Amino acid sequence: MQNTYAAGSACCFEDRGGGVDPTAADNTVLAGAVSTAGCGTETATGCKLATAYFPFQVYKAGYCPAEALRLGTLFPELVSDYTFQGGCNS
Amino acid sequence: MNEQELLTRIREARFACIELQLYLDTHPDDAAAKADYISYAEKLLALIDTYEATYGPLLNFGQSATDAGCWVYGGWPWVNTDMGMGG
Repeated sequence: MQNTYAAGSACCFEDRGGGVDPTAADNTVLAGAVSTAGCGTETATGCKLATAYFPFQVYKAGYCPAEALRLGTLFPELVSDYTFQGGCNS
Repeated sequence: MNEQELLTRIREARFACIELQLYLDTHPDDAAAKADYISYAEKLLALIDTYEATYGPLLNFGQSATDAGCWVYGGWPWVNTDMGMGG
């Protein structure tokens, strides 16, 4: 529990739980136990974590404000032509 | 410039400020972006001054040194008077 103070003093933030317990995940080895409980029987049941890459933006030019507001971004390199393709069930 | 045109210019200048502010969050040393942010911010403040001098406060919680109390008598800037909802 975090940020808990004695009764009668400041407000408390209750631990809402629900966080990921890494020791309960599939295909993990407890911290410090690799030498004794290594990954000899490794099976691929889990998914690889997603990784993201994006280029570092460099400001070279911006739209004039009216055009920026219309397009949803000041930056020409960030314009995306999002078009509505229908809802999830269509 | 009429009231709606002025509000449009304010929205546009504010959006430009927001965009450059977000950019500067990750590029705090970009001198060109900083200069442009300041330019748009000054433009925005000037537009707000112009608007408030003529049409009254743009925001409701007291930071506008314009005609105190006048907001009671008119529609709010965000009320679409074209739809008959404002005063």
